[in-house]
Amino acid sequence: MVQINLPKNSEVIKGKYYDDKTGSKNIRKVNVYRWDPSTEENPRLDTYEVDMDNCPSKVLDILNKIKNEIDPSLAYRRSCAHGVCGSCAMNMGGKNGLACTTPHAEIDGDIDIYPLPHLKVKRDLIGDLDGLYKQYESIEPWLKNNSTKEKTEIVQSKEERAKLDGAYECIMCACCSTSCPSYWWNGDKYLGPAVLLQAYRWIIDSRDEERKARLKKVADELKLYRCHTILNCTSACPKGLNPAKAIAELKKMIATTNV
Amino acid sequence: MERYAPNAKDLASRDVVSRSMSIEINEGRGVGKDKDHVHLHLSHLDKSVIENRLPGITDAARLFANVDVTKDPIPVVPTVHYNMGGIPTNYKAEVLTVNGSEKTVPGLMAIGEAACVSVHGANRLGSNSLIDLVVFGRAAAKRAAELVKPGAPHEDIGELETQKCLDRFDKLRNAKGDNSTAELRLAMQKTMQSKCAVFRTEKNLKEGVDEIQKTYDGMDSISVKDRSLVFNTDLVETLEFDNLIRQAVTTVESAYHRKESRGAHAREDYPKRDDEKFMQHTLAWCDGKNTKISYREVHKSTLTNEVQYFPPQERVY
Repeated sequence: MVQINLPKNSEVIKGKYYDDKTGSKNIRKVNVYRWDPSTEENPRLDTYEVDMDNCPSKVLDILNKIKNEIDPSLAYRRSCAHGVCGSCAMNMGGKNGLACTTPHAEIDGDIDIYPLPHLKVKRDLIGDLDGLYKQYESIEPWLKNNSTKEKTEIVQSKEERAKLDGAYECIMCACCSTSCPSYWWNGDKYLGPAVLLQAYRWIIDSRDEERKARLKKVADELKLYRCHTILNCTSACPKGLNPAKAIAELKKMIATTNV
Repeated sequence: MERYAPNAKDLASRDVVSRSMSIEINEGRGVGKDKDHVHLHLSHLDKSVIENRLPGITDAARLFANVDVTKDPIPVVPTVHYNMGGIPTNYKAEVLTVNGSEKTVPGLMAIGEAACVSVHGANRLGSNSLIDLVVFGRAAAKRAAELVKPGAPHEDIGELETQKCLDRFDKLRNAKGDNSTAELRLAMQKTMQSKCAVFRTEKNLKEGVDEIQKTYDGMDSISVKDRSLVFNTDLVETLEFDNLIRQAVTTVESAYHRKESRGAHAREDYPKRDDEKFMQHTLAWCDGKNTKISYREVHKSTLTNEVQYFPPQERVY
């Protein structure tokens, strides 16, 4: 049997321990993954004691509290703070989600916070999404319509518009793709649920004229068919969308269309 | 809302609604433990209208207030939403300066919330950002295409200018003072929220000017703990604070000097609009914590004869 071990410099070691300084009786321990590539040190797990009496309800509130009151060097992405921008996607209590919409009350015991799984880490909780953005670009996520003149509207019926429900709401946070074992294994070739949901979104858009070409482009053993309907994507989506269903629809369309 | 805007009611403009809410709270008719907010009811609307037209607010209410909007009211309070004013530009998005007459700054353009084309004057109205995007975004692109020759080399940037940027960067990156950025930022937020809010008076604006200058002085001893050059968010937040505090100083000074009420700027001590003195743009020149205030004329003509100039009127809803 082949023994697979992490390289020595990738082992996550025990990090610093930050004692509570507020004297609060309501403390939770928060373990946070830390790594700075410019230091050549191993990744480590720092532990912060956080006063929960003065902390609002979401995991992002804990992180902000740590950054503002305990350790300003902690690095994480965040912007809108209400589940619209997708910046603060991370792994909390073993589950992917947005820190700004995940209530910490839903996590039992110590709160473990890691970057999104199986991405290269840029620093601390910040995953490298460059690959995912390149894949997103590859599906050409913009309207292609050559027959309509520049100055007229492209009319869409209510029914046609309704087909986009469940797809247009995606905020590209990558919670789904980074929860998918197929994407972990073949992330360089398999497009993954986030990008395939977007591919689907343009394929079913009644205003788009490149449906066939788009279908043909994703009809690929690796790009599409690495999906083995594990459904982690659907369970991870913080917006309640169903990327697995969109992927199944794509497979169905390809099976029934002459591409 | 009927008492405040008998015709438009809930559809009155944002500043009117904000003021109505603030008056209710200030006069002791707020709700909650501290009577510090009001309730927004949606439950009279048909469930399908709520589902189809208001999915965002439905979600936000559920997530952050644990409220089912089809049954219960949402707790709400007026807050900052948009920065009226900004970098003055003409309608082609070219930045203006005042130098004898109105002049553009060659090569500098501004669009979006940073810019002030001044379409809606002292107010933030529905579709402000749509105009910023669709109309002035396009105008800016067209103007840039006219001004920039393909393949033209960039003008040399003087050593002195690049050094200035690097000096600012290094000064903050190595800042070893006593005040954390988070503390100073919170002080700034508190001052702006309490002294430069929906209703303003000479007294609280003066207090605001003094307080915000004190916070500005806190920057002399600011501290950045993170020394890394990889994703140093401590440094980024400090650079952002450096920008924000200047913005705050300028905003509160400009409000203090405008002794009238106009748009979203509501002075309790000067409740009327005063066109004679203040039918003009405030120009603020920021030099550290000191701000020089002057004024620029408002255009009173249109670009074509198809539409005529529309003089300001008292707003009644």
